[in-house]
Amino acid sequence: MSQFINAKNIRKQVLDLAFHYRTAHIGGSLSVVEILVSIFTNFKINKKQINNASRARLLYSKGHACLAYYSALEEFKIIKNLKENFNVDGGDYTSHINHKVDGVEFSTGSLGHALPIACGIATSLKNDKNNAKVICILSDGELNEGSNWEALLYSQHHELSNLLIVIDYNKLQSFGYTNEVINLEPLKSKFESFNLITKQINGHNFEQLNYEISLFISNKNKFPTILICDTIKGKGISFYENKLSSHYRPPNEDEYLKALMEINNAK
Amino acid sequence: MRNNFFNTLFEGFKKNKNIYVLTGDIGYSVLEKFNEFDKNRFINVGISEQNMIGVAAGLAHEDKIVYVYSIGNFPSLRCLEQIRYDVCYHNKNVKIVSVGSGFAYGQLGASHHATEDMAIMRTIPNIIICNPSDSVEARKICHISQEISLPMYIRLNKSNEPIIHKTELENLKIGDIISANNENYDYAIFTTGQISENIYREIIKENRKISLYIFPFLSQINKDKFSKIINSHKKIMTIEESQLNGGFGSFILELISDCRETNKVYKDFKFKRIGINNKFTSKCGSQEYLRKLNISIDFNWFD
Repeated sequence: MSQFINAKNIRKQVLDLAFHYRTAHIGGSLSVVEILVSIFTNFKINKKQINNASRARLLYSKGHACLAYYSALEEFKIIKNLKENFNVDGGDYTSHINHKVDGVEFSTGSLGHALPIACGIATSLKNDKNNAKVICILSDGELNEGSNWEALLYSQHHELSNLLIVIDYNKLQSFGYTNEVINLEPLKSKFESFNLITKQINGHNFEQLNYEISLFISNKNKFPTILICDTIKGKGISFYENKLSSHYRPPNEDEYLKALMEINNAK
Repeated sequence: MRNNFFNTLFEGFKKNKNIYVLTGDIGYSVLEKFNEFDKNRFINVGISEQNMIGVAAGLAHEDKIVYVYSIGNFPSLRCLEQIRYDVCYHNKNVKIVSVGSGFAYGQLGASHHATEDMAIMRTIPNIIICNPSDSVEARKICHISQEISLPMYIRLNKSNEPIIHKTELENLKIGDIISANNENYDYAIFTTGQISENIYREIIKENRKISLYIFPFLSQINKDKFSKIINSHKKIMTIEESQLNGGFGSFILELISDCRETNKVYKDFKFKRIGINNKFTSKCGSQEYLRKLNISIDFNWFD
């Protein structure tokens, strides 16, 4: 199946879950879809792999954007019956990702936690001469957290070349644009000054994502790689795109139908 | 206590390739040998406690046994949420070792007074709280910590403290209560941590007929044994080098309440908590001085 179809299916599931369960964080879920699809496909994250020592370890720090992550797990056949199990009393599908669900290495939800954990995993793999890779997906807003910068310093000092950090840079955080809340710019040169192999790409473009990920997989670099992915919050649904409300408001029925049509018609 | 703990850990570190030791840039003259033995498994993460706990959780995710080390409030309060969520919620095999319990670093000021850590830590599920009173307990706790795969908080005092236990505590288990003298007196003191040694010495010096019980653990107490002790004394005092709010005395009261519910505790007795009474101290002083200033122990209560 093509990555484009994977992305389309995930977007539809994200929309469906947000509509039926009235959950928040649809915007940050829609912005990270292509990133997730390219990671699941390039690192071969699937049902057979999830318990193997050689598996790629994916840490998803923006646990609030669970709609996209759980939908990706279902799209890649690691879990089943997501719609029946999501958000229900007594279920495992909490609306910040839960490690009780297959394919989730660590629960997240409090921001700034996953990168230090990814660094610990990468350290262990490196010392054990295990060639498996570690990927950590961060939101842009959580770059406000000091713990991430502690971990970035650590990652380059310990030359964790097996670590890929991916930033979903949709430029909208919980209560405003990132450059209005706490300006991150110049972001690329910040990471470069940390000795990280830094690339800035279009986070909705599979060609660019696949290329950079395959470079990382085959690389002989000394330092971790960081991909700043320029994305659009609410991507794929016109009335959500680049809107703060996409962080909070699920669609009403009219909006749901309109959004579904837009996703179906996307090319 | 600290040197004994780390000398014991070093023996395990040499044998078990899964043991990692992380420090927040602390450990001069104590931890160098770990680095010399295996640079990969000894990591000075720098002065970054939040990252240190996250890294530890990640290492433990790969089945490593991870010790993290720093002073008092730094590997505990500074990174509390990482401890709660990354380590304890995921039940990772991380041992947090903090040095400088209570007023051990008295002269260094309030930043270095570890007087709330025990109370705060014990509210978190899954973590075993250890508060040894001397190096003999610390050594045994170090052995135990290498054998069980659970999060632990190990609160060490400093170095060169006098010891209470004249022989090794080979049979000590998590949750055990140690009877330090004669159990047959009407009056009893319950203590935890290094201040226990002061009390032990004071009881001997004043020739008091008070039974002394030491609690090296604030977790998994055997309620049958605990209730038996409670039922056999008329007056019980708890003493701790910690804030009273939520601390060791509160822990004992909660246990008593639980045991009353099941009628394991059925006798009446008088009870008093001694500790730091909800205050900071900005005074400079040795551990001994700050204990006297902040923790008023009055044996006359038993008269």
